[in-house]
Amino acid sequence: MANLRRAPDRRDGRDRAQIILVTGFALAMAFVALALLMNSVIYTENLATRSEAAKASDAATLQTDMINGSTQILTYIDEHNATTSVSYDTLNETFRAGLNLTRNTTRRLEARNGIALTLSHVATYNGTWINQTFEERNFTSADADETWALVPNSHRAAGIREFRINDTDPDLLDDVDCLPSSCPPTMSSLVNFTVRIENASGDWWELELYHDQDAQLHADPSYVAGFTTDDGDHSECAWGDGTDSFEIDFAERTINGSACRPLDFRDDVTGDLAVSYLNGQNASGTYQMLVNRSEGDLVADNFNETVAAGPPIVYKTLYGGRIRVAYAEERMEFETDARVVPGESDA
Amino acid sequence: MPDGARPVRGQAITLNYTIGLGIAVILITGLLVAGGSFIDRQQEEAVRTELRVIGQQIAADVSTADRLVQATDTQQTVTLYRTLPTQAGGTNYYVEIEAGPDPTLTLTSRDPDVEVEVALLNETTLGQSRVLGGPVRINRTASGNITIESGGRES
Repeated sequence: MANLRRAPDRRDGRDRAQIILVTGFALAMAFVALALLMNSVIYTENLATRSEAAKASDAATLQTDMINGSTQILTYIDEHNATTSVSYDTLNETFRAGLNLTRNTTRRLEARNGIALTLSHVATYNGTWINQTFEERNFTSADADETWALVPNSHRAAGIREFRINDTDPDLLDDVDCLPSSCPPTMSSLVNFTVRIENASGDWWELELYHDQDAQLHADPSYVAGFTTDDGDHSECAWGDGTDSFEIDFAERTINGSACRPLDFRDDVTGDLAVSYLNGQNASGTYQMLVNRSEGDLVADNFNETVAAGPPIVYKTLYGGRIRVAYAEERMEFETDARVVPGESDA
Repeated sequence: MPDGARPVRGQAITLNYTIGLGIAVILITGLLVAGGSFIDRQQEEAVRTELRVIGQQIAADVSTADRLVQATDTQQTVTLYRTLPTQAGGTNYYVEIEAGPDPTLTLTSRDPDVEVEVALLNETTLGQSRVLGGPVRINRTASGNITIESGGRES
């Protein structure tokens, strides 16, 4: 018979091996895909550890530095450039020149760190010094009015700073003959030297100086600063009457260096303010105030125009200004306006 | 029996071959399916991780912009540039700021379908905005809102 059975052949083994080869190839492709995936994961880890974040602190610090520098310029102008004859245009140009110098110097320094910095002028707020500091006299006006407006109601000031009173003759203060609690708070009844601050809504705040020589109000004879508001609130600060002078600093809220919290009139009167002296004949010494008003807005008759004519006089100056700071680096651009007023919270 | 002939069992060669092939195919298919699903899971995890990292970086920039706005006076403009990868785990993705009382930053990819959310704590108002992954800008104009926009720094 013919042999119908095919003899075993080596090709059978090679056919099955081809399947394994294909499988191996498919698995290899899968491993390659996995390797690419792992590459993406490694990139993610690298991405997570990069410190490429833009730093807000640098921009904020530089902005603060520009504000501080501009504030110093304004302070210098207030102290050295304010005179009776200078014009507001001249003061404005001085401020701009100061800003330009600051910008040019700072820009070169910051360029080394890859930072582009720009400082520019936006606005200037005219101001006026009200000044009786070079000669001691009573606190009446230039025309000897005992009750007069330093800042009139018609042109209230949005800001008041550097307000200080130095009384060099406390004996002029009126002695207590009318306890505040029993006196109606009307101008006609008060005889003590008084500083009155009032806003457009009719809210008012008063500082009254008097001498408690017989210790009616305090344990010992004292000079007293009495504070009264339209709400009927009343408070006091007192100190011994053994001193030849005393200084009231509205900015620091101190009297003779001691804290006197009620001096902060902004707790009681807000907005634009008018300032008046009442019974100015009962106080003597020096005082100063920088108000956010042009010189022409004040009552001309209340002041003298030249130093030679004697105090009180007014000087043109700058109350404050507004600047623009622009900061740019590789990953950030930042631009902002900033208000620049020396001692913003000062009286 | 001829010399050298191997003894054979009573079995058709074709059936033997077919069964063997069938078993091999089943095993190999199972192996490939399992391998494929493993790779899919790994890709999804890789995309999720990368989106999470990208989201945290964008959230940090949004926080930086918010801090600068809060620390300064009026009339501010803040722009932060961030060069993000155009793809995450080999797939495109979108970045969206969802404004509202509880703002969030949402990053989504289509294939695989992954969504990652990052909570934002801001005082400055955020504007609803959505961009494709890649170079972006975190922008706050003088009008008020912080938004995300496409495009890096203009040279």
